[in-house]
Amino acid sequence: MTERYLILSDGTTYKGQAFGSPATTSGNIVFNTSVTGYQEIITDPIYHNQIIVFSTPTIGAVGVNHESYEAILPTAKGVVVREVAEVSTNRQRTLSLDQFLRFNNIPGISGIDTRQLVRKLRTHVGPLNASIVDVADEHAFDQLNATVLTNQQVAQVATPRPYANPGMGHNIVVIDFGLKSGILRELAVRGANVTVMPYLTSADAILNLDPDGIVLSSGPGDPRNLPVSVLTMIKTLETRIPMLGIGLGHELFALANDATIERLPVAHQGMNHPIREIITNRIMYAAQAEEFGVDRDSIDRNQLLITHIDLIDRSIQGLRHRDYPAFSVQFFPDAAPGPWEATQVFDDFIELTGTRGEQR
Amino acid sequence: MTANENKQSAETDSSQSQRILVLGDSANDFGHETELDAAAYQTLSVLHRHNLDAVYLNDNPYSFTMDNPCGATVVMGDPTDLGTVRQVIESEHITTIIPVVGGRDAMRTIEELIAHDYLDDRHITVLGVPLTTVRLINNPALMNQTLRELNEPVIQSQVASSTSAAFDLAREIGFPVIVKSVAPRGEGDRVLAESADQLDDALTEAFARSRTNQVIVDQSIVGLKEVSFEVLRDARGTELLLGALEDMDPVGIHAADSIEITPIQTLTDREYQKLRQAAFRVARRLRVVGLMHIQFALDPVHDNYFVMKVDPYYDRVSSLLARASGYPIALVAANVMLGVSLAEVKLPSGFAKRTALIEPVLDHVVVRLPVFSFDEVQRRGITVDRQLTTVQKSVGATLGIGRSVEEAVLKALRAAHYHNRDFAFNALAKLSDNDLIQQLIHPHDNRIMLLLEAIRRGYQSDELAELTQMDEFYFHKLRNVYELEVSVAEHPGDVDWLHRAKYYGFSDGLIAQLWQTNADAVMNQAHSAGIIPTFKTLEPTAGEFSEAVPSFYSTYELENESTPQSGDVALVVTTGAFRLGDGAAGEYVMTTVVSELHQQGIKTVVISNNPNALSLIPQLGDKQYLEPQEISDVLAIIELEHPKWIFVPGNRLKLIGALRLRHENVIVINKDKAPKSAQDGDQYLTRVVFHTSKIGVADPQEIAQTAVAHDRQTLKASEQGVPGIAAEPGAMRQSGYYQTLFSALSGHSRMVTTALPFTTLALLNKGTGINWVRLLVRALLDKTTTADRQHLEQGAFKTTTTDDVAMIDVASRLDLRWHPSLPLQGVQFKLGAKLQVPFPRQFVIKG
Repeated sequence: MTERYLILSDGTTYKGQAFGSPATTSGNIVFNTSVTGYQEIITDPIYHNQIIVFSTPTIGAVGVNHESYEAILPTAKGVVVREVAEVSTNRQRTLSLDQFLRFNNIPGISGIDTRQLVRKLRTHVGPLNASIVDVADEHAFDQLNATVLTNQQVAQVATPRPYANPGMGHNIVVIDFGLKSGILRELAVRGANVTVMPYLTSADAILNLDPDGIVLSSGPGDPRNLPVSVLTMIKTLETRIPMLGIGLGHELFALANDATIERLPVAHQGMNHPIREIITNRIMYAAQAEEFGVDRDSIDRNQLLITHIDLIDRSIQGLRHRDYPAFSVQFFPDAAPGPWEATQVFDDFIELTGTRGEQR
Repeated sequence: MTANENKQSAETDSSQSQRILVLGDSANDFGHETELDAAAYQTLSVLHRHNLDAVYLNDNPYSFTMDNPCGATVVMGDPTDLGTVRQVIESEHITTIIPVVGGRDAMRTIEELIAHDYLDDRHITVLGVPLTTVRLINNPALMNQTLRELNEPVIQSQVASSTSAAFDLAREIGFPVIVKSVAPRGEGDRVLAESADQLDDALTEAFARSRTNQVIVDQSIVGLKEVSFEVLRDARGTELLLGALEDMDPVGIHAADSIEITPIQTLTDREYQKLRQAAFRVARRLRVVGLMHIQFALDPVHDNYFVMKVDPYYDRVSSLLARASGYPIALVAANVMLGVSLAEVKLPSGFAKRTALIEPVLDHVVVRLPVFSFDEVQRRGITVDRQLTTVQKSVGATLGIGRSVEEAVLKALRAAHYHNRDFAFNALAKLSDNDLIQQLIHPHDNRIMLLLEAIRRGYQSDELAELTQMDEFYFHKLRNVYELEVSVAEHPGDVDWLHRAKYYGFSDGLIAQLWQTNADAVMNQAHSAGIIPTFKTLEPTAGEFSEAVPSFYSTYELENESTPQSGDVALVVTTGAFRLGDGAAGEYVMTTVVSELHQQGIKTVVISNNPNALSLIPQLGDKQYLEPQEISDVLAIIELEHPKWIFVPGNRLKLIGALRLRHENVIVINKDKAPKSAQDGDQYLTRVVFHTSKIGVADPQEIAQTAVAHDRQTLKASEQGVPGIAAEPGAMRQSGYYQTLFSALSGHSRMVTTALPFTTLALLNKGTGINWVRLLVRALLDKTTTADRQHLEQGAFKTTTTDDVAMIDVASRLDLRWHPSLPLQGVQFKLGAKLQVPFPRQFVIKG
């Protein structure tokens, strides 16, 4: 068993055991409190450049399987956990977590007091960087402190070229800001004919595809770092075509409609917060991975309605445009991983696109 | 919201005329420890906070709630007896009934009331479950039909009214089949029949137990993965998942006899969410307002599942998850039942805002290990059938909590084996290879030790998975334990290996075995190397929020979250896992001790590892440690908490001895295992003596003559009085209650003086209406009151109504469960008792 170290930019050192890739890595460190779904989490492009701390004590017990990839190539920078099950046994598995991380050059470290680490991260204001290294010396800290993480994460993970995910139903364009497969799965279940477009596509090019609906995908990073052209595109499209924004897509939708985005004091990643749908008063649970949120006071109530809120931290979880068939959710309704009750959002969206189809 | 739910919440608003009957749990038995009493206490406290008028009906002599009803009226009477319940409804002008803290029996009582149109006629509402649902849960055939309507997969299952019809069904379905009774008396058993002979036996028993003379023949799904989900649903239809647990053992072993683990380890997110959705659908269909435990059989190969069982009331799993997550399940469920929405439930201070709406997530592993007590019987030369089946054989359980599966399993094992007799790595070294294979296929109570032995003998994980139908994951975990054991043994005295062993849950005692030294030496070495436990909070948000839940478990990591309290602290070691006999009585006494200490302004710290423990009711004390109770565990807590007193029940001789060497204020709550009178069938009269040097009683003082006996005949005999003979002082080494036993037949000649059994002490409290346990605690603290002195001086027993309260032991069907070679007679084999009164009457306890 090889010893390795997790070092934090605040100077803390944790000793643990290596698993996955033996590479040295640096990234922004975040924690996730989900109990299930480690494969979906590790492969979700929103974790680009991030080291993920799992608060659940053991991961790896169900290996890695075909159906749970959220991206073909994971872009997370590291995995931190108390225990990793070195052999996977679930009958659906194709690889063990350890093998999978090796193949994808992602280092992991186990044997960490992750509860202490989570408690530290929860009270730390602003992002914190970390490295997984062989030797926790001054050099390693220098390297960590010198590390500059790109703020252009979307460019790193989003598709540079359009591609199709054909179906026989509604014609949906998904704009890829770091798309996770769950969104495509939910659209496929509803028969949609999907075209995935790069995020720098012009509004005209998208309109030329004659979509019944547009999905602004989830993705990594700060939405304010994206080019203004993206907001212009959204502004143009929302007036013409039914639109659904998810995660980063929701934040961009808010920005395009003159709201502001702020960094949350503490990032929230998990699937156990109650989310209230205001119109029905229904409370549901969904996967969330949030570092940024819409500033409530910045919302122009003449343009946007708040549709969902998180009952724990009161964060805005959903918006709807007053004039156009466009809405967005901060949480992940695609349930990969996460509770299934929020998939209703896709039904609502497909219904909305149907309206347009009738008008056409 | 449905009309019925509307009605329920509307009625709770007009609280003036409302009078709520809470059905108590009655006698303890297999699968029924003190969890229901604990839930009842918390439910009554919520009713009290809502200014609701409540009546609590119970006849369990070990009920803490009867003594401490939070403002409710207590009626002593049998809550499982229809006549009694009707009588109480009428005399107390009941408008509403809460059955969900009374277990399955209470559900059956409600069903009988429905059957007689009694509730409709009197416009009585039932909180928690709609009446249609009550009928469903008492009738598996109706339940299956309802589940089918929901498109939930259910096991192929049919009702038979005769043996020949049942045989036809079995042939149609194909052996093996599971047989169970329709509307059974007592707990419904599921019996596996693999052949016609076995079916014949199973049918005889099942028909006899059915109140409708019908049985159900089910397709057997033995071998599938067994998991349980617990849902909480409020009157507005908000559903949340309180937790889920998986059984290490496959379907085919009663869930209570299985090793259970939470959070679920071996399910993918997709499987997990699918079952969560199914659980919500069922809760919605049954219109549950409160808790619902649903058990599934999962077939991971075919991506399929079956609903096995639905319990929309408080049970063992609710209690386990409450302990595991720190989420105040009983409190929130009681609020929800009254129509308070989950968003509006007010939690005790210390919880972050709106925690009631958070789905609990854990950052620790909790293992529940069943405890069987077979050895206690076998030591008497009686053999029992130790093979685990669909019928529950375990009498108690322990919790092991840690940050890895290995640590949690080892801590649960340590908690179950505090005698250290049979928990050694080489415990099964002498088992023949043939027996080993037999027991792998047909598991016994020694599950973990057997699997470790198999690994030791070279079985591979996949072979073991095939033989046992357990998930391979667990063999990798157990292999880790085995490899660690080998490495530790190879490195005697090595601090690094010592640390690693402790990190994975090895105790000082185990390491000492491997190093062939003594536990003290290991403890001292660990201590001087700075290897000391760190305590982590048991809270429901995995560290995301600051939840000040004063409940802790130990591990060996960086951060310790438990800080000592200011003021005088008393440490109370409570009963631990129940075994045969007086577990519930012990919990009752020790919980009363905790409660009295707390009321005296002393900070209490409880150490327990029983998932169903009464003493773990959060409001009763100040702090709780869910830990094994070996000396090293207790010392680690002493070191942190600096208690002024340590209270220990009298049967923990080894622990008491070890503690007395190290602490000057070890107070033993004395007890004898079982009353002599019932033990050997002879007739005895009993005199109870209170003795304490603290209140200046030099000679043991007789406080009364009393009739503490287990049958009415003895009771009558004792009324005639016993000549005053002081017990010999030498027998009474410490403060407490003693009994002097006289033979009823041989002219009252003195027989023997022993500590008073907890069961008898409980009866004294209930019979006299004076809380002698609280009185004892006050005496021990030098806080005796004038009233206490009066009780003692007056011989208070005479002034009370002891004469018409008797305690009857309840048969636990041990013979049917364990198949002993000789009949098991005597109170030490009983798990529960009932108070018998001529008519239901109000009960109030003083002190």
